[in-house]
Amino acid sequence: MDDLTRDFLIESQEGLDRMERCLTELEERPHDTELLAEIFRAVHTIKGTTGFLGFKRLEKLAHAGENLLGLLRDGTLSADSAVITALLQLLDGLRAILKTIEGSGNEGDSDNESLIARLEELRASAVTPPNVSQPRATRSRSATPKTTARSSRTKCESASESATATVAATASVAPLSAPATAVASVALAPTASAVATQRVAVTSPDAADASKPRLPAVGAAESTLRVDVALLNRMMNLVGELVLTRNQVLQATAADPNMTMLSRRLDMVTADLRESVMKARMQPVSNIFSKMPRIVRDLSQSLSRRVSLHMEGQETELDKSLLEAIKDPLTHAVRNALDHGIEPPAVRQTAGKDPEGRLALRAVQEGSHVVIEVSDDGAGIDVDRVRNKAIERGLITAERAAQLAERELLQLIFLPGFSTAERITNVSGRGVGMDVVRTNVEKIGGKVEIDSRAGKGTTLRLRIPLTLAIIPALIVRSLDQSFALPQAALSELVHIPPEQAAQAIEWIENAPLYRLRGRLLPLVFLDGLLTPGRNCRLSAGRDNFIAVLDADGRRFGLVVDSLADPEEIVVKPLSAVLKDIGLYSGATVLGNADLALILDPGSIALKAGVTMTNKEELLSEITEESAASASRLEYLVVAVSGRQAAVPLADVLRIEQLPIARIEYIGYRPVLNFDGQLLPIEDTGGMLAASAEQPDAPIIIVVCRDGNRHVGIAVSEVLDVAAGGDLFECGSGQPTDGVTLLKNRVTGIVNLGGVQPLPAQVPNDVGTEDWKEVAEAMA
Amino acid sequence: MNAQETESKRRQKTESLAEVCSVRIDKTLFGVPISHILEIVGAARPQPVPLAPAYVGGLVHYRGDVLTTVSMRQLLGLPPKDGKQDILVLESAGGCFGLLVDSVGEVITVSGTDYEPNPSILDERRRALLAGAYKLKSGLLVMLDPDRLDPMRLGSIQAA
Repeated sequence: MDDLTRDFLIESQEGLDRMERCLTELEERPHDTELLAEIFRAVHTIKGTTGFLGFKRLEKLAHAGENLLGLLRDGTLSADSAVITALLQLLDGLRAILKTIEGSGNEGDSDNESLIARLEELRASAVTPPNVSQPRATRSRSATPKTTARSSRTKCESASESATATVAATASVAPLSAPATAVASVALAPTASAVATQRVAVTSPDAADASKPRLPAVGAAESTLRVDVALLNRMMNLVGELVLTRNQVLQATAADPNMTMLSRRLDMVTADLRESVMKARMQPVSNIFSKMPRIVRDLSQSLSRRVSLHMEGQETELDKSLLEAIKDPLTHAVRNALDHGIEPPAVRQTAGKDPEGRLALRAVQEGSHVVIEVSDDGAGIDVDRVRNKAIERGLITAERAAQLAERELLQLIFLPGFSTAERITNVSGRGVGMDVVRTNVEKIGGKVEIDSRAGKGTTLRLRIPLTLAIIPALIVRSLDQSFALPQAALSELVHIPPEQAAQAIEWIENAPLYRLRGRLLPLVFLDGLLTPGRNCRLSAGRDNFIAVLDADGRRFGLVVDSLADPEEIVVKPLSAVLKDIGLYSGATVLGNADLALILDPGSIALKAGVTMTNKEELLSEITEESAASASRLEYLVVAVSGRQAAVPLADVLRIEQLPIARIEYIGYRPVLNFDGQLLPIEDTGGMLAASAEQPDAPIIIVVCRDGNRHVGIAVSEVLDVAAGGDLFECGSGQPTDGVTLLKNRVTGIVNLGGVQPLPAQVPNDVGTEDWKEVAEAMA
Repeated sequence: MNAQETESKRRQKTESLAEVCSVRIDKTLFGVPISHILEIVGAARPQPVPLAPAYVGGLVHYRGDVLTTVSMRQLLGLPPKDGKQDILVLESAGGCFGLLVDSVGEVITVSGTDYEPNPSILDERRRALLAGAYKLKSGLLVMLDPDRLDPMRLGSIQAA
């Protein structure tokens, strides 16, 4: 394909995207001449360019469309629903031909006679008496389901085929006020700024469009540039390379004082560069939001609903690949909201609601995540129906269902095979709904949360990480090699000291199991998995580690030789031949320039035959998750000399088990010495004193963060992790402070701030080393 | 006579002089057309990939990408060599890959008149890998065809 044709395809697709947005707007404001001019321009440009590229079929269709649009623009015809439906069909027809051209280089030979005839018919009706238009409108409505199916297909295709991203400098927001670009001049109130930042405004070479004098597109065109995604990926790779080289340079020059300034500068510039390149890959969510008005329009027609769509936060940016990945789940969520959420107008009226339903899409960045909310003011999810359906489908037992709270029951809709739709529509209800949304979102390291109130509506929240190219991972070692485990799948780490190696693992025949808080956890030996036939036992001579993984509901422990640091890794793709092995999702280069393969927990579970955890367990996990999502704090439940106590999980850094003799004292204050770093120990239970006679007895220290200092809490046992429940003072209804409800017991929260600080900055500037001596002397 | 040999004959007639990078694997001198070589990476130690097909020599870090390498020794049925090996970064239809060889020698200009296709007594497996030989004064220079060494292609050959 030559450059001219490729440019033509890209421009036309952008033009059609704009046209689609304008068409849905046009339905609300049928006499908006700006919108009509924009739509006319898109079609006209296609017609004009296609003439000299020699695509006859495309030209013919565009010509028919242009004729109709001409009448609309002149005001001879008004844009009623029938006309807009026809124009949307025209849009789909044009897209289909463009797609064929992109795929094969020619426009194919299927003709669009019926569509052209339809456009002609509408054009002719403009001059005939208006009473003819009534039956026509109904006819066009009956044609809508077909359009829906086709348009959704076209959408998926057009997403994957648009290989060029349009990169826009933020500066392009500024020229928005100037009547500079065709795009900016369109009165798209909510989308205008997003459109301007997201695309280079391509004002078509459109001399024939005499009704509106063409304005030079100076501002946006100069500040933005179209860049091939492949080039951006390459830049990202090279920046990754630069980061590694920098790390090595920094190490090599650390000793040389002359190089300090230079290497520090290199360090800064590299970090900046990396950030900029990552930013270049970001695109506003309006890229997918802008597809929604059309979907909502088509669906509300075919389901006879009345819906107004509100979109917010379209300028929120997300990595391009992630944007593609959430497109389907989001579309699915919108479909669900229309099909199951928003009731038909009559039902809404009886319920005392506005017959027009409200569907809101909201995107907002929260830290390193982007949260996308789909909320409707529909019927909400009927918890009783969910319960009955789940029991009927055998997803849960009746006894268990009776114990679940509403919130927990709601989570059932994420189970595979769940659907409450009374009948299967072409929109949703095949039982592959919410679990697919959840799976797709979790695949990219995101999370789905749902919140619903009967009669009030439903909110679905997708939490998406900002970027996929760099993921946090834990580096583990096995077979003398490093492997990267994505943190997203990692739920906890279990350390098995050498002396426990012999009895830590229990076997049922050849299946290794570990008792994790009373539950049997299937184990997979990484070395055994990677070298078939290897005899797998924990080695008694050294430490062993179990990484407890949770991959799409499959929970298992991966036994590795040792753990290295967690690292932010840059994911590099593997060649097809290695991808086919199925265990690795990519490779990465570590800070020490070593290569590490990235393990795919899901595939490992499959390969090792770990199946879905049984429903009850999955449910209890979901329950835990749901509790966490309710923004209730999670706590580490510990036992302190027989009492239950709680430590906020977010503050826990690590848990140490050590002989009590390691505890030293500064006066009466117990401290722990970690390579010269002193950790104050809080011993509320008086356990240290109680077991002072047995210096070899182990004691568990929970190391916590308190502001920027660390403190240790001495406990007798770590019980579990659980979410705290709210407690209120009787009478006043005031939420209580310092206590929470854990496992149905009122539990005190350890006050980390109450741990006395160590004496700071002693005279003569004694370092921590000296303190150790002092401590020993005093002990 | 198979199709590859006829193709080689045709090539022999059309181009009389060719530049070939010589590489040594065990005792044999092999040649790779320099037009296919992107870069030579010296003294690399590829990271092994557990469970990969045997001919995969491991992964190397190459210009920000992770490159799959093919072990020539394994393909020829030779014992693995300890220590570092040289890597030819080759470009084939399926993308880039690395070819692990014992050592890379000089670039030799060879003449089409010295070319001979694979001998008929060569076994099936080797005939699929090798692309004839040039008769040099010092001995034979056995030609390797980068397209035939592409890891994806090797995978389908071995599966067949």
